[in-house]
Amino acid sequence: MLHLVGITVSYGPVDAVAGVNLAAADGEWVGLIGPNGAGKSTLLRVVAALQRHRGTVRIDGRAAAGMSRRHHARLVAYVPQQPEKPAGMTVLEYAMLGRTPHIGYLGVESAADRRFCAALLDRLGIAGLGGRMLPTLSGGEMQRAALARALAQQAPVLLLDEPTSALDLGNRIDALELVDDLRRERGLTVVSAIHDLTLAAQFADRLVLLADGRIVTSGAPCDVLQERRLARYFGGTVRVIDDASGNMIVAPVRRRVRPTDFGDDLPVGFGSTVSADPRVSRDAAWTPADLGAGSRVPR
Amino acid sequence: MTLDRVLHKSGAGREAPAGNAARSAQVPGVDATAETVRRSRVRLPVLVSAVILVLSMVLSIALGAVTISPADQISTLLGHLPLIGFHSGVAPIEQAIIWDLRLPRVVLATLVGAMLAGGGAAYQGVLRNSLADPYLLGVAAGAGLGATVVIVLGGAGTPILPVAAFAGAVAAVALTYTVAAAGTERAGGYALILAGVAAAAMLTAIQTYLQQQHADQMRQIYNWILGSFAVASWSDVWTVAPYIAISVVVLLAHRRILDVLRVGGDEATTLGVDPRRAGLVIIGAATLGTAAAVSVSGLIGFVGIVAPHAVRLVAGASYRVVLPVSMICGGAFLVLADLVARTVQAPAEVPIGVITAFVGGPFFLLVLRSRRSRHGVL
Repeated sequence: MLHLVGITVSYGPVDAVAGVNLAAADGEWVGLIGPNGAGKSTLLRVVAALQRHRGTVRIDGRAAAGMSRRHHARLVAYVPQQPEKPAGMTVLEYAMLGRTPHIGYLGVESAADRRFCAALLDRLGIAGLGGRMLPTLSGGEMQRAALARALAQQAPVLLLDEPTSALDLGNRIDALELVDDLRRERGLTVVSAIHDLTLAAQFADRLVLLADGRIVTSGAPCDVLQERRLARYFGGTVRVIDDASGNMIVAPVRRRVRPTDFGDDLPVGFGSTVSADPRVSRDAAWTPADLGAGSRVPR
Repeated sequence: MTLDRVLHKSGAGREAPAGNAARSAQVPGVDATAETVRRSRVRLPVLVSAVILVLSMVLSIALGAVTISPADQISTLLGHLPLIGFHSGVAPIEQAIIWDLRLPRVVLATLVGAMLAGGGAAYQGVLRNSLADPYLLGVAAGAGLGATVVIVLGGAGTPILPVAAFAGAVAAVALTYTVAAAGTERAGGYALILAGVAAAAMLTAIQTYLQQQHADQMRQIYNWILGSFAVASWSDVWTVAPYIAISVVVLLAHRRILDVLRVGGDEATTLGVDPRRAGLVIIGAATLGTAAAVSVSGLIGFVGIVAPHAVRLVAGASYRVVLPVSMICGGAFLVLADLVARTVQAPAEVPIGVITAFVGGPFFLLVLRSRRSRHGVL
């Protein structure tokens, strides 16, 4: 469905994306992971035709470069990380903007378009919010509204830039579960940049690890998410845990061990703290001066 | 099941039973509401504002040195309709007052008001800046310079004056666009606004210099800039009507595109709209109409900001409502402002720009304090 060949995006002398080749099969969910600045969002913007780039993007066998914007919008729908929320626009009006590529340039929505969008809101569980103004929505409601607008485009490719970043824990699962249901119902190809590695592992069919604009590795979540590799590219320490139900959990682990015992009146860094890295404990050590007058520093 | 949880969480479970039933494509309740809401949202405000406009026009034709009843107005109008051969019993002098003096003046005020308000709404939509008005990209400064040049050359009151004002306005916006195009691509609307400010400052400087050099014509220049319909005639109406008509038609045709542009350039692009091309067409049309309007009326301020914002607060922010209703209300506003301008110090006339600003400012504050403004409609 989606073929990227030799994609390079340069900001001046810096390559934000450098020679990326990537393919996504029909109905596949590809998760883009990587540290901040790895080029995940930029790559999504390339596929959304928002970013000047070198290399070719083919969608459904056709080169994206020669496509009209209208035609492109019928093939690719894009949900940005923080969608604009125009004041005074209702959720239903917002969802109907997604019909734009199917309506003549100077036309307006038909009754069928309205019905379609109302049904979409219902499917996404926000039928009751159709008349609400966008700025009054919660993060989870806004996410669904944005999804409704994207789905209204009836495009086979759905791009999601950090779809969970504005959501709390329960809403993250719900939102991605919804995307997964819709993907299966409608045979959508989903490409998402996703920060949360645990969710990435549990929802994506395939993960692509990007660092410095290049693909480091790609494959099944269990192959890509290895502790040493993640430590190398993300910095910090992580544990990859297989829970009993077969889900992978990627958890950040603090390098320095937390002091558990303040009983002997020693402040942090005064011997009771153990660190694998001596530099860390020295940097973090408190000096008596920090503690001020009346401190409990042993004399 | 997750879907059930999703439905319940968002509160939609009250409307539709969760599970498979909720998946059906037809949702009668939602659909019916959606349909009625959309229709009445446009029709009712258009109807109400149209009634206000007609009443304003009738009132404005009625009042003045000679008071003329609505019945006489109607029979005079009928008498001027071709083919039906209606003979009104209205005295010829009153007919002349209605047909040759007040009616063209009222019609011209309506056209100019509609254009300034519609142009303001369009500029605000494309530039996504609620302080944008139709003069922002240099229309006023360019028209002012064009008019000043003609007046200092002794052409005040000649047919060259509106032509020069029109040319100056269009040239100023072209200059703004050229300067903005040289700016960075990412700056988008801001580059255009900054270029507009720069172009306006430059042109105003030249205009002020010319004005100072020709102190004897200062009063004429000043009167033109403050705006007036005192010498409005049918020929003025026919001169600007085609431009304003084209502009209004193009803007109204873009009402849905303006709604798409509300989500910003990037998102509009992913929805299949080229924001640059659409913006250029809309700004071009708004500029053409505005330039034509100011060429016969002078620089009447405040209409382009007050009318669209008042409409947004009362009738909603969609451009399907804002554009047509702003145009009608802008027309009514200017008709009433002109009525005040010519009656309050009769037989002398107050510049209409003074009235629009004096009335528009407090009215705007009043609207801003209303309930809807606190709900973030602006």
